[in-house]
This record gives sequence, C-alpha cells and structure tokens, in this order.
Amino acid sequence: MSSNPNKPTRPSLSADQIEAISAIAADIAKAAVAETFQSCFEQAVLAELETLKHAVALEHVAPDAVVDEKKNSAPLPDEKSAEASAAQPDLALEEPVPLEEPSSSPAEAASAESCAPPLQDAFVESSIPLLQEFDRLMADVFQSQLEGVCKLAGDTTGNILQLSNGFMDEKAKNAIMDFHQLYMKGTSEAQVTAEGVNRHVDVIFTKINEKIKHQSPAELSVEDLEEGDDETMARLSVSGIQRRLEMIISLEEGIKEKLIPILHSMQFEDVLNQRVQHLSEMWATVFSGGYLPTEASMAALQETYQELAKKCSSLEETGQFYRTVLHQEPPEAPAEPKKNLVDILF
Amino acid sequence: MTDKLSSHFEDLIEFMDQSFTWCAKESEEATSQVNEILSMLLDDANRVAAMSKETLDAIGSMQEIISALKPSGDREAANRLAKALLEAAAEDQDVNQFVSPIMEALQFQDRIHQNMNNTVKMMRVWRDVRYKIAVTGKFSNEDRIKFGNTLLECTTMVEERDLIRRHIEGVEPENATQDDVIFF
Repeated sequence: MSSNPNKPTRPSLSADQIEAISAIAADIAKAAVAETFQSCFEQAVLAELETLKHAVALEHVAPDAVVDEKKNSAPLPDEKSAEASAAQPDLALEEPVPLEEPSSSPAEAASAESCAPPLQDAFVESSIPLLQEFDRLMADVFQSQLEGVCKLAGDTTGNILQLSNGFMDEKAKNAIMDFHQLYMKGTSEAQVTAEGVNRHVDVIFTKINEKIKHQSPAELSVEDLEEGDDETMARLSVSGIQRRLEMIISLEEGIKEKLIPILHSMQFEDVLNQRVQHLSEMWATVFSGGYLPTEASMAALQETYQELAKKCSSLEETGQFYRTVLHQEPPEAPAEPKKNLVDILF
Repeated sequence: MTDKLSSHFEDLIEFMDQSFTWCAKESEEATSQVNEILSMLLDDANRVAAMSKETLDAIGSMQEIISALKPSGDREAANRLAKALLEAAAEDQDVNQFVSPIMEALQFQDRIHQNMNNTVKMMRVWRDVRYKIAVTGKFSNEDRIKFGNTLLECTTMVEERDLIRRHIEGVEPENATQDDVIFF
C-alpha cells in the first residue's frame, strides 16, 4: 500500500457495512459469470451474421469459392459407400472428403474446372444453416466441458480448505472461506485481478462511505454506484475480507504458514479460471462466426483472431496466441512479475 | 487435415492445448500444496502424538501417492496405493478424516487434466466433422448421433459423457461395466 502523506484517511466500515457490500459484490459476480459466455456468443452472432451475409453476397457476385450444388451433385467419392450404408454413416471418424480426386466423368471434370474454386476451399451453400446449427451444438458441449474444468478446480480448493479446517479456529476458517468465495468471484468471474485488490480502494471507500452516511447498508444497491463500478465493488469486498484475514494473521502466531497452501490452491483455481474464461470467450466468438471455407470468410476469421488476441492477459498467454494463432511475434511488452497471492496478502 | 479453414481452426485448438498444458503445470503446483499440508500435520508434535499408527501410516501412503502422481511417477503404483488406502480408510473413522479430502483433492486435479485433454480431442472432432458438413451440405440426425458417439469416445469420465448425452439425444448409453478408476 502507498504511504503517501497526502492520501485521505480511509474511513472505516462496520462489519455490517462490509457484509452488505460483500453481498452486492457477490450478486454482481454471480450475474457476470452466467452471462459472460451467453452474451459474448449472442453479440458475436449478431456481428458475424452481418459479415456472413456480406461474404455470401460477395460469393454470389464472384463465385470464386461456392460450389454450385447442381454441378456438384455427383456423390463425393466416399459418399457413395456412405450412402450405401446409410444406417451407419461413419461421419466423424472419416477423413475429410478427398476433393482433389477427379470427377467421375470427363464432362463433370470439365464443368468443375471451369467454375470451381480451389477445391480444398469448396463448400455447398446448403451447408450454411447446418454449420450454424452444428457450431451451436458444439458451443453447448464445449461450454459444459469448460464448466466441468472450473468446477473441478473449485472442488480441489474446497477439499484443501476442508483439510485445513483441522488446524484453524472457527474465525480463521470462516475468514479464509469468505475470502475464497469473494476472491474467486471477484477475480475470474468479474475479471478482477488479484493485483487490483488494493487499487483505488481508498477512493472507493470514500465514495461508498459517503453513500452509507445517508442510507443504511441494507439499502445499498448496485444502482447506488456509478455505472462501471461493479469491478471496483467486487475489489472492495475482497479488500474487506483481506483486512479480516490480516487481523487474524496478526493475532494468531503461525497461522500465516498454515494459510499458504490454501492460498496457493486458490491461486491455481484463479489462474485456471482466467485461462478457461479466455478460451470460452474466444471459442464463443468463433462458434458464432459461421465461418466458411472461402477466402472472404477465412480473412474474416483472421481479423477475428486479431481481435481475440486482446483477450490474452499475461505475457505468456499473449506470446502463445501470437505465435500459434497469428503466426507472428507478439508486440513487445514490459516483463511482468509472476502474480503471487501470498505475496500480495502478506 | 489439409483444408485452409480447418488449418485456421487447428491454430486456435493448438493454442487451447498450450493453455491447458500451462494450467496442468499450475495444477502440479497445487498438488504439491497438498503435500505441504501433510508435512505441516506431521510437524505438529502434539497432533502427531494424538494420531493413531493407522493414521500416520495413511499420511505416509498419501505422500507416496503424491510422489507417484508426478509426471515421472508410476501411475499404476498410485492407483494401487490409493485403492488400498481407501479400503483402510473405510474401516477407520480417524484415518478417513484425513484421507478423504486429500484423495478427493488429488482426484479432482487428475480429472482436470483429463477434462482438458478430452476437450482438445473433442474440438478436433468438431473441426473434422464441420469440414465434412461444409463440403457435403449434409448433417442428418444420424450424423448428429454419430457425432455425439464420437465425442463420447473422446471422454474418460462419466460426467463428461452425461453432459454430451444432455446435449445430443440418441447417443449410446453408459456402459455399466466401466472400470472404477481412481487416477487416470
């Protein structure tokens, strides 16, 4: 914390006030996580629908990629056998259709040569709604899978907390459990970082305390704060719990060492949640894009990837995204110290 | 996979794989914290004095399991030790008090790895099937079920399969004779 002598004295809050603020922050965080994937998906759908319409319109004007379904009506090489055994279509395990193979007749080959695009980029127009449906289906499965990852990480911390109960008194146990709950909600779900715990907290304390002077804590609501203050609210409540922890640590000899494994576990849960959250947002954008194997659509996907790079937070994550997805070196950025919750708290 | 769009998707899948690998490393750190707690318990002389021999043996076994679960460790040995430990814990309330949360924490971390690896496999299935839909313009209900069954093959846990069944009707039911695995 800064020791600026000009800094205003931090007004103190009662336990009730802290509880009330904590409850508000928890509500905000809860709503945020439920909506993140869905809203990201829906917003992206709307935006990408326009792009898709535009791309398809372009293809109609200059059909450099769309395969005319009538001209392409001959069964694809492995489709013949697939149709013969329609009861057991080996869809998912098959290799992609080898489109490079010649058509079954010289006439068809000539027709394909005259109007077909590079074959590996071919698609049929009727696939567009199917792809949208298919992507939506995969988005649901993918999101469930990621939620499973986060739940397991949370359960791991819960078990370590349970294990630690044996050597902590009730007060310390409750404080660390509250801290865990708010830290996780405040960090991964409302995008608040651990480094941000103390950031601007003095200003916010002043602001909140001014409001509390004129109404009871129970009457405080999200609307009482200016728009955009939800993250600082979450941060504030984490900060309140942090103070309770600090007090317990100062009162009980040796508790700090006992808390360290729990805090490490929380940090694991936090970093995992953050990474998973980024992946969730990235894939929600891609699933909603309706991307087609056309030059225009692939160019749009590359643009989307450029935007997605902004979701990366750490240097390591950014570097991996740039090198793997964008195939370029990441922009230079100052080295960042490794985030360590133990150092932040103690 | 040679088509360009699938190749672009593969880039993002590869990035996801890298992110998960990074998470797995962090998870190893979290596993070592379980060991820290065990060491802390053993350092507490008063607490150790109050523990039964069975409990102390159980803590020793858990430390061996944690060691066997390291990347270079013997996972089969971890499973053998874990099964024996859980049997012992079932018969002793004091032992169970220590063993249950630790075993669960270790299992959860193991399952996180599984879940992440399986997610990557699923995304590659999506990429391949998507390409096929794009070039054929076909995705029948049978194809949908076939896709669901292929996703099931990417899983290792009942919970994952249940989620797939929730989203895709008609996929294969759970095989009742699946192995009861502690660590994958």
